[in-house]
Amino acid sequence: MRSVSFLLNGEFVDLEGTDPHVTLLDLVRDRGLTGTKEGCAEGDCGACTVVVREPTPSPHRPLIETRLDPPPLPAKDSERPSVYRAINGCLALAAQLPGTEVWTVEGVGDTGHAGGRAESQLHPVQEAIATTGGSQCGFCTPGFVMTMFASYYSPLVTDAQSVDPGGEVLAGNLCRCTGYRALRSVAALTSGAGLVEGSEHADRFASRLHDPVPGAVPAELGSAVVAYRPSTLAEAIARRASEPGLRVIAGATDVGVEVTRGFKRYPGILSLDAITDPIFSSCSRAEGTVTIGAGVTMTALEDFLRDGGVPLAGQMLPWFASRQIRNRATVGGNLMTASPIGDMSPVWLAHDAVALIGGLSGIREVRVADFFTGYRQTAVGADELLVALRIDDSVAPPRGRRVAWVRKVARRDRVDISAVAGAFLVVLDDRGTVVSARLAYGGVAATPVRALGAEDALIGAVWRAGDGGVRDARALLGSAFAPLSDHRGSASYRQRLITGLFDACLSETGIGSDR
Amino acid sequence: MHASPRRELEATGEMPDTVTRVVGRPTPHESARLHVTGQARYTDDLPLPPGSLHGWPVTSAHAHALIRVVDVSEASATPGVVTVLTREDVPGENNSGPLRHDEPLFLGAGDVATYHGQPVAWVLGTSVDAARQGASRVVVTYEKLDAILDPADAIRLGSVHTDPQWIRRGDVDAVLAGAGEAGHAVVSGEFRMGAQDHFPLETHVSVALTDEDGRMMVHSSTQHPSETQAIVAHALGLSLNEVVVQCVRMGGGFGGKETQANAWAAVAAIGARKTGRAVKVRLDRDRHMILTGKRHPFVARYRVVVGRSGDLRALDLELYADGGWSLDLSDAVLGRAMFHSDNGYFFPAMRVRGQVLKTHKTSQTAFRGFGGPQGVAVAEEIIDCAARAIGMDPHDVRTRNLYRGSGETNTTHYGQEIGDNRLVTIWEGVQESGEFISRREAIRTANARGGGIRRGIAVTPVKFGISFTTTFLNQAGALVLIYSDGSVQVNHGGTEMGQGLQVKMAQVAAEVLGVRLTSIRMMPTRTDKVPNTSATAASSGSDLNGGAVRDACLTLRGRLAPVAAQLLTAPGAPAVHVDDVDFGDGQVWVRSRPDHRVTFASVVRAAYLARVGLSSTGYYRTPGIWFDKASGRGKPFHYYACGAAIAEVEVDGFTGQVRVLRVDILHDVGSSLNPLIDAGQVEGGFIQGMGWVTMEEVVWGSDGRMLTHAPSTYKIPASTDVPADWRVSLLPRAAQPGVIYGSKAVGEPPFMLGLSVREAIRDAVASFAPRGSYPERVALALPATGEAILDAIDAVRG
Repeated sequence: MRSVSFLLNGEFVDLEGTDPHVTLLDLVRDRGLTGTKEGCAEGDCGACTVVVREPTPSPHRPLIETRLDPPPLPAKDSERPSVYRAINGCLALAAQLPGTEVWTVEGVGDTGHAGGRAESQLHPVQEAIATTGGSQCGFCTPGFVMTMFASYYSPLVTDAQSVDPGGEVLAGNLCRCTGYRALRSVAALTSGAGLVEGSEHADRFASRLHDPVPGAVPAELGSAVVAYRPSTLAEAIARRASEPGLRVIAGATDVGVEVTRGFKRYPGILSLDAITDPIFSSCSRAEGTVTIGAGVTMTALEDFLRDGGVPLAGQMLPWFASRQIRNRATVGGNLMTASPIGDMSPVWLAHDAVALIGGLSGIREVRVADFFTGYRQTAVGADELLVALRIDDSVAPPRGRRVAWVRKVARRDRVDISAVAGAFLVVLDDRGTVVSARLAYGGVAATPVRALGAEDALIGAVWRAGDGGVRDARALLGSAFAPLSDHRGSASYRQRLITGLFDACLSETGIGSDR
Repeated sequence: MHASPRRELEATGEMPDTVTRVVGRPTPHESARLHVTGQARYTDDLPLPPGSLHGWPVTSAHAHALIRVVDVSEASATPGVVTVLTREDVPGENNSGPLRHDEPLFLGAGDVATYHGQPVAWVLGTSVDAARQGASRVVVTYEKLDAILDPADAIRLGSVHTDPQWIRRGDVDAVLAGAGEAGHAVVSGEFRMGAQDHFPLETHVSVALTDEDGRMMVHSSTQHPSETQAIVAHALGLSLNEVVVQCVRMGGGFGGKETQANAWAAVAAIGARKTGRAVKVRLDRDRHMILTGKRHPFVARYRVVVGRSGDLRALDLELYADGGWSLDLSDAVLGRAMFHSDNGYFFPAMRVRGQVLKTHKTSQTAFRGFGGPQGVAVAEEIIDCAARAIGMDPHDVRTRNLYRGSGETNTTHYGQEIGDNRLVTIWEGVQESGEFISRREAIRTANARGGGIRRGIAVTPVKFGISFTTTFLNQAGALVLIYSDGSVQVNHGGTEMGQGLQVKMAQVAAEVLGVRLTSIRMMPTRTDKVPNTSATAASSGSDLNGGAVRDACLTLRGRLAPVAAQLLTAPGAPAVHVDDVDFGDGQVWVRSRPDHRVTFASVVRAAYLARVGLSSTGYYRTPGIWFDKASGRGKPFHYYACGAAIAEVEVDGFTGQVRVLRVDILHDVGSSLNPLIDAGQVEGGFIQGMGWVTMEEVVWGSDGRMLTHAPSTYKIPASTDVPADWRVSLLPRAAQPGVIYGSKAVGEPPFMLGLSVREAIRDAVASFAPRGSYPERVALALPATGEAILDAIDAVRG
């Protein structure tokens, strides 16, 4: 077996013989780099945040289903070949480390910036946090430093439409001491600062973005337990078919939790994160049809949708977990967990997406409406892999409009699992009459689900509260599902949210509403 | 270093200076650079000696059950398992109860498990994984017993830990009896509050290392090293001088590590004693939340008499603290709740009865405010209900009944005169700077237009008593060492958990010794440096330890001054008098000739050669406080810390979701020792309090299982939850007499400012009442989750 390694703070670390279940967090702490902390081991607190340098998401190539080699497109002028991404070290498994470049809090102090105080050896975000009261107990601080380190060199944040950039950047890092005021200020002030012309060439981390880009190495890792990491979809499907007992991982943000909190150990792992087939690993748009690879991360999808299209997805993504999770979690992995809530599942239901499922005999198509076959069950067979989603993203009829509305209702706005989530796509003609309607919910049944009866009742109704058809639809919603009670909310609350979300959507988007 | 502005030092008349050089400056946290570089070490980061072991608990599968058998045979045979610690392995007392000895560390056959998740045995392995796998193979056989989980059931069944406590003022019964005739309203109700998890980012962790001769060195993330030392010693059957406990720093405490760290330290020490190897016991997040205590849930039952113009006449109050399975500190927590159930309001007659309930849940414990928040929440609940019942705006009832003036109207229900009452100043000040009246008007107008989204606004005050209510705890010690090069080590009994105690203590030492902060090294808290310390709790850290550090430094300065006087005396000139010597910025000079200076280091060197002692202890005890529990009267507090907050929120009537739009805070920290640190305490305390009253909900299942034991299920405020517009001010010109450099305690009081968010939500909810009506009651649960808010809206809609 060839030698496998990754780059940690600029030094190669040999992974030969490493159990693929070992987390990056444990791996760095065992090497004495104890600045990275375990706060929860489930990706919710961010104390373990580290940074990886990755290729910038590939330019959006048109078309793909026929697997023709797409013509290379020139990169956008502003794009650098690589980006820094904050991730949760507690959920990153050794299986996916070979070939990566990882930075921890211990590695970022010396920026090589000529203007910096030689003796201080602090990164600008470290300096700002230390001097403005951004740390109290200090336990969460390295995680905040690394999140802000990534955003310091990230152009994404500076063009965020958010009214609260500081808060948004930090939503994946919990602090119990400070109340976040100082931290939010630092985040708002420093995000993107590392890319400002002039400073870039003086800072070794900024100039590094132009260095050869690390990439996932399709190497097998492990001793007793083997982790396979194929580079093509065909290899992955073949491996899946021949060893159905392998645990499949893509971003491992869900399986990682099984490992760290559920203490699961698998007979073997099949990692999909090195697959380079465009249909699996990128997004494309052609003739009103959007194809989203199952291996595309939520962050890459956000980036793709920044130019518009698939509106419910664009609206939901900021509410999907944290930046750290979105940097790893994939569109396919999220669907394959088949969570009854799932955040994005109602979105795909409302867009009536089609899942492309790959097997040894080729690709078959299943509507997402038929994808969830039971609680945590999907239509994907034991010898198959989810390859991509295809969405007919054609717009509204002439002079009509498309109402696209999503809402998660959870205890906390960010990084929380919904009690109920709704994603509604209603097409209106020029008189405000409903032409088509898809009302999808999470958290109300064993699977994400559409309210078909209410949808039918809306056809032909005028889209405003008080219209007869709308009233009928609302009444049907009241009895469409039988949600359960749990610690996130009672059945009664969920029932009220089913109609409440419909009412909220109407009040914001209905004919004559002032929003 | 520049001198800070002139300051009045009313607190410390004996200080020769009237200007401070170090104290009062906004100085970053002493470990800030270590925090941001990841170099700050926490207990879990300490390198372990070879052969160290890790512990994992075997926990009770039932909330209440008789244990028949504990079979460890299969576990012992698990690869990597070194031993299984059971009841029989405890050399001393099998108990970690801090006051009452009701907390067995281990359970064996014939013992009764009293909460779900209670440790029965501990497996020690060469890795955490091995220990955990071993723990899963310990077979415990139970006989299930009925469990009491709901505090209402505990009240009904008389399941209690303590006899009732009482505080009485005036004749409540007479006012109640005469209320009808006098035309007063009598409003009664029951109000329940949920638990809150501390959620320090660092979970509990202890490392025990055997010293020579079976003595023990324990590194522990504890707010109370002396008590940890005592519990470890008792469990091992050792005397206190045979156990040393060190806490370098904590990754957050909030009260959760005041008593709750002790058991894990004891288990590690018992394991180290048995195996002769170092043992680490670190609870992962789930174990941390399943095994350890929370903020107490409370049940309050009240009758309040209020005049038709909003004047409070009497309050008859029963408070029940849900203590969980053991007593812990619950009696004192309840006591502080009783002391604070007036918040800032004068009730001419008041009767408070309090009792600690026993339920089969985690043993609830200290948590920032220590019962104070529950007492204050009850007061605000009562004000709101009383006001609405008589058709008044709760804000006007608050304003009307604030403590004020002197004598009876400025004296609490337990007989302590508030003295220098700053409540009214703060109350009026925050409303003026926060434009309360005009904003309230705008909100009323906007809400009157209807719609599904409404806003609400409210102001709430806090008056928080400072001192441990157990009087003897109000003492502290310090040990200051000056080395011959002029560098200084400072030890004291307080622990650093993020609150900035160490930088404040360094400031105090630097101020008194006249050296730069860089000359001071703050040492980890160790029981072999300062003995018999109190917990770093009750917001007392700076007051008590500051007094002790200052005392030690004054002693040393007193010894150095004659040496300096001799050094500064010019040949042939009259001898410089010691009183004319001044210290500052690492230099020493004669006041009349400030240009003639020697360095502090040279004075120290001369003192050493002259055989002058360069180390000293220091000691402080809070003067003039007392409380007689039997009569419920006394002066339990050295002083009060006050503040007020205006919160403005937006409530979504479709979903119950809430956003905090703006918060204005005016808080009294006296003459701040360090405004940067104090502002951080106010901000962090407020957000934690906001979390308690909004999103933080601890949920136990019907079988007593903790359902919210990780951040995926238990939500503390995130960066996106803080007010979009947030204005925090410290009360100016506020020096507090009799406290270190005129400062005030700050750790806990701002927590209660978070209650303004709850009252603002209630204000918004009330606006959903049918047009033109004023709801007689707006029942809102605590925490006010989205579901609770929607319930409240549905109720006022009728």
